Amino acid sequence: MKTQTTLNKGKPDGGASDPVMRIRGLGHSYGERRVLEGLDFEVGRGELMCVVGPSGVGKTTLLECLTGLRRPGEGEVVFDGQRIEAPPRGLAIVFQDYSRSLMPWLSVLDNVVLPLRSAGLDKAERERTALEALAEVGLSDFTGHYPWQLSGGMQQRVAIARALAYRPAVVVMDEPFASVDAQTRADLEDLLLRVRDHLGITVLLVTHDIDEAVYLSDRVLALGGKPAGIRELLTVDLPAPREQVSTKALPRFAELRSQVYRLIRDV
Amino acid sequence: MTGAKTEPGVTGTKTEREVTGTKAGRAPTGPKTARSGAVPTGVRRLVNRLLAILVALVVWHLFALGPGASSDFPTPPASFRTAVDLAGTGAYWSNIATSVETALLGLALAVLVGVPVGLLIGADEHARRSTQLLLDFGRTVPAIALLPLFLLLFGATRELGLVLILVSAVWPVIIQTSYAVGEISPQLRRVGRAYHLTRWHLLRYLIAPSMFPFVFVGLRIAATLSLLMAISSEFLGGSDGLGYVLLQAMQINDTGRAFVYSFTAAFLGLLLNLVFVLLQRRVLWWHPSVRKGGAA
Repeated sequence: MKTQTTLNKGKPDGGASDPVMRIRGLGHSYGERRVLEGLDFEVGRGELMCVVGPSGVGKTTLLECLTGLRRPGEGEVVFDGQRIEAPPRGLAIVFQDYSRSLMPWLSVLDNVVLPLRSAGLDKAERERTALEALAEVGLSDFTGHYPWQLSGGMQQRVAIARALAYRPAVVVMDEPFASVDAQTRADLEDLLLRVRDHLGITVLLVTHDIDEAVYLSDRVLALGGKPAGIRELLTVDLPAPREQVSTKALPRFAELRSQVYRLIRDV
Repeated sequence: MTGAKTEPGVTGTKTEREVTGTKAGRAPTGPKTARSGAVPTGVRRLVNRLLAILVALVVWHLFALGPGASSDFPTPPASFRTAVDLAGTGAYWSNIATSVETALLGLALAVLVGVPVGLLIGADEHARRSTQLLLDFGRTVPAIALLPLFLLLFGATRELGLVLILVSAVWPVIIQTSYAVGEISPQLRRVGRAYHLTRWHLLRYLIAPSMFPFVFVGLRIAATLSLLMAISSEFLGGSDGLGYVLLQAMQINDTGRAFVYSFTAAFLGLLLNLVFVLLQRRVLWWHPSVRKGGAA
């Protein structure tokens, strides 16, 4: 298993060696209201970065700009050397609202298969890929079920499988675990870490939960202010593999946690 | 008929939601919501229903013997005998077939016209707003009021029935279809964009299934109207069918036959409703109004 310390740590200036995404001078306004301003950072290949900030700070706007779902007012997002104008291939999104992101008229398998169908994979290929992804999230026994027959946590795992089956270089997740109970949330966090180690994908995860951000990340991007800018891009030097109880009991975890807390609290 | 947008299940009768239980077969190992004690309540419900029918029959019988006797009001047993006699004739069944055929042809016509028009109107917020008044006007004009005009134009023909059905049944189809377009979830559209679904896959797997529950409600209202207008046009216009034989029976004061024809029309309506309930379970098994098990 790859250890956290061998992964991209990022340079002090917010850059990363071998970046898969570069964000340059990103800003956005809704009419008169300025939401984001002057964001510069890079996401390294294989890195797990969490964007953390208080509710309403503009995390979702940032995510939409990063994924190409929204055209930013200023600056640019470069993905694999290409400036993003629309959601690029090679980038998969896991939305917060899993129940509305899955199609109730399609089975679990068909939900995962659908993007592959459009990608032009033949039947055998797309089923194999989808089944692999479903196995990765532990849903091999539920392929014939419909999303509404599953619990919230399982539905979000379907959404994660759909993202993984898409074979993306980067998975972008928007508060993916915000609507499930605490235990399920911890399970999903560990699932994400496992999958990331196993597949070596890059993950960019937006959350308002500081504990979650510190627990999961290689680096935490703390967002704050009005308009929101980068407070700090913090390297999380916690040992791998992470574990819900022991990692969170480390004094270093508590330090990082308070540090992030102060960063996004101070105005 | 209803003008406001309606989701399936909202207009559905209570019975409809009660019978929707058996679709779990699609997912063999799916979680099953236990409904213990369903059998006794089911039996009691059936008994209550039969009892209600029995009471209605008794009241009818007493009325026929008492106040109705002077106007040849038939008793239930007499009506039953007339019904059996009529059911033995080929004419009875061919009249039913004619009426049903007209209704179905008219419904097909209403769908053929209503769905594309609804799509065009629904696709554009501006078009939706500007046609609102026109649609409200169209659906509130009683088609029967236009009968004299159509009678002049088409005479006592099947075409008359078809036109009448079209001008009454096309409205719910248009209205529900145009609403359906607006009901496609923005979140699912984002999923479609994010995962680069092709145009055809977007239509086939996302847009059409999203719209279908609403269109289906329109279809169901239109079907009821079609049958109603088919029989009405025969009755008032005088072309062959159930409505026409009903008119004939009344003209010669044959209340017994008139009763049987009326009941036949009512049963056709019930049958039509049943067909749609079954159809809904078949095609909308995933919809919250139909599906079994799971919350969100």
